[in-house]
Amino acid sequence: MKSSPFLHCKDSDFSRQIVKYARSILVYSLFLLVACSEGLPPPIERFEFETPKPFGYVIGDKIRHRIVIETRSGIQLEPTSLPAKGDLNRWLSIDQITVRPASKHLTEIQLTYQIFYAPLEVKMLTIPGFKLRFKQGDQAIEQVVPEWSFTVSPIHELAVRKEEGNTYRRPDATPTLISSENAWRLLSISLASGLFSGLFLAFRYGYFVSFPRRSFFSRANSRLKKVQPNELGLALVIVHQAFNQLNHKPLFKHRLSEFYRLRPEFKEIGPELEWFFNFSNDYFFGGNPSAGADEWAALKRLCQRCVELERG
Amino acid sequence: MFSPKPKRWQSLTVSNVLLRLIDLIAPAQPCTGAFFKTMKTDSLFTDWRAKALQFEKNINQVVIGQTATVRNVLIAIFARGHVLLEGGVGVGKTTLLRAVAQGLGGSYQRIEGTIDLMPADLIYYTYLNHEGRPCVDPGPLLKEGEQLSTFFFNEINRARPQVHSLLLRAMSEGSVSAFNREYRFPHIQVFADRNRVEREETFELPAAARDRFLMEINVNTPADDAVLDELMFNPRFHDVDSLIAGIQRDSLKYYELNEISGLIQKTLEPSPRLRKYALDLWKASADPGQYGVKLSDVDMPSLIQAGASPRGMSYFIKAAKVRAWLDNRTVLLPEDVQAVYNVTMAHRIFLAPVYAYRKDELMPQLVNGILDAVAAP
Repeated sequence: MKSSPFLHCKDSDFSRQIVKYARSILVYSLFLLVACSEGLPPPIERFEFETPKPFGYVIGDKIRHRIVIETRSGIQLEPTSLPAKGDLNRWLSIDQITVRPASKHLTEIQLTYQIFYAPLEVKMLTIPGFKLRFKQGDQAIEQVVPEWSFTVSPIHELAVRKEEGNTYRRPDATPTLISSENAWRLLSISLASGLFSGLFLAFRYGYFVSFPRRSFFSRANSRLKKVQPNELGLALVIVHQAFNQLNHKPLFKHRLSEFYRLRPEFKEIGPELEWFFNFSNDYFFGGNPSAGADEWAALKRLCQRCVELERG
Repeated sequence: MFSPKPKRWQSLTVSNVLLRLIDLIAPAQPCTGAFFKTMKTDSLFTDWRAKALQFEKNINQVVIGQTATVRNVLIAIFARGHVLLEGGVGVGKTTLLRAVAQGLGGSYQRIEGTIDLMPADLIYYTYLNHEGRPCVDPGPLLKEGEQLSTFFFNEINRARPQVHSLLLRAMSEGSVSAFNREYRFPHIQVFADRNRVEREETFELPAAARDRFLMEINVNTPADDAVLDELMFNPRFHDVDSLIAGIQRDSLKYYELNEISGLIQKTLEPSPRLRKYALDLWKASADPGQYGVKLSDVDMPSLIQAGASPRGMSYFIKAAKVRAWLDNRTVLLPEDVQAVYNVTMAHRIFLAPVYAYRKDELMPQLVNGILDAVAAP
């Protein structure tokens, strides 16, 4: 009868078996950890190089490149790595360089080139690339900005027919301007309407001192406020004067119907006007120059109503 | 010779009996005298106003379409002023005066102004009687004596200035001297007529004569078609005599008019404000430019030769008071003054000669301009 090997092994063998199994478990665990874990992010997380159309340029045109770089934290751009402002070569110069940190990790670089190449025929040119350098502690990181090719066109004819009186270089035909007449007309109408509305409103509110046609009762009302209660005669005269001015001649009770034809809006306060003229006649011509608070209040109410009617 | 025929009637009405009783009581009771006096005045005013308005109504039924003219004549009657009527031919001036004379009672005399009319023709006329003896009879002015209430001078501008002079005294003093004595006409009211159409062979009334007239009333042809239709087709208006006869005689007692007129003038007292207003109107008649009156094509400082006279202003206020009384008021208002301003003032304002030929055009503008320029209060 064969005995089980396991049963027949020694203690040292058993220990070796356990170590062997533990090592395998460790190896498998490490493998799983490495497999599950993400690697360190790259220092340049995002690089965008935005360029315009690569054709259709002529001498003197400007070309704008935009570079957007997103870096890891702690990485800084070295400004010296940017090309210097000024001439890059005999036909290319950099007019403007703008470095603008858009956020903590995002940097935006704008480069404006101007070309001075005068080709005789369509020619492909290349703006040279360069390397942007970044620094993280002692470590230096580089990012290549690629060169960029484009075509440039001549600005003169290939064959000039001078015998036809043409010159070597000729300007473009003057573009026909879009007619602004209609816009000006609308603008004028709008301004005139606005101005007229403003003036009319001011006129109705009696703001024109030198044009007092519509401010008779406004002024009478202001004057009434300064009159003392024992000066009822003066108050009546003030209101009379306002009516006379509005009527362009003295207004009397027996001429009220004529006044209503001239100023029909005052017809709605006919009873108040009747009261006013009766009271005034009694006060000035009837020998009854006494009045109480009621008459005062009625007179002020009448004047206020007239102000409202005057304003329309 | 002849003498005036004194004749006076007293009507025996209930109000007159009451008034007589009040007259008896009032002096005897000093405490109640004022009360009775006021009561008497009120009663008189009420009675007379009713009579006056009825009189006006009667006249308006005879002379239709002339309500404003009739109202002015009524005012003149109670203001005891003489009236100068101006208007076209056949507009009803004579009919109006005959109707007024009929309503007033008393005597009515009329004379036609002609170029050969002499002052003596108003006083007397001579003739040979049936026995061949020369006789002298009183003329139209003296014929009725003190009972003369209405004297109508037709076409006054055809008479000579000498005639005007005689008339001036009769108008202003109510008397004339003749046959070595003075004849008085306490109730006379002169109505003179001036034809607007014809100006040939006429004498312009002198300023003094015009100033003695209380009013100059323009009588125009009615504009209302209905009135014109009545005048054309209603036979009632074709027979003037029967038309006049329809008016109740003595509806106003001519011999009581002076008394009631005086009472009206005493009772109605204008307020200080109205006095100021009337004064401004008077001043404006002499210097309208100062009051802001402007007329087209007129140099305002040189427009007026003479403004209204003080006598004219007293007539003006008298007329205004009568108007207020007829309107049942004891208070004089600006509307009373304005209503009579044109008829009492226009003939007293004398334009400079350079503007006189435009008088018919300028005077209404001037009067309206003054009324529109002077405010009250």
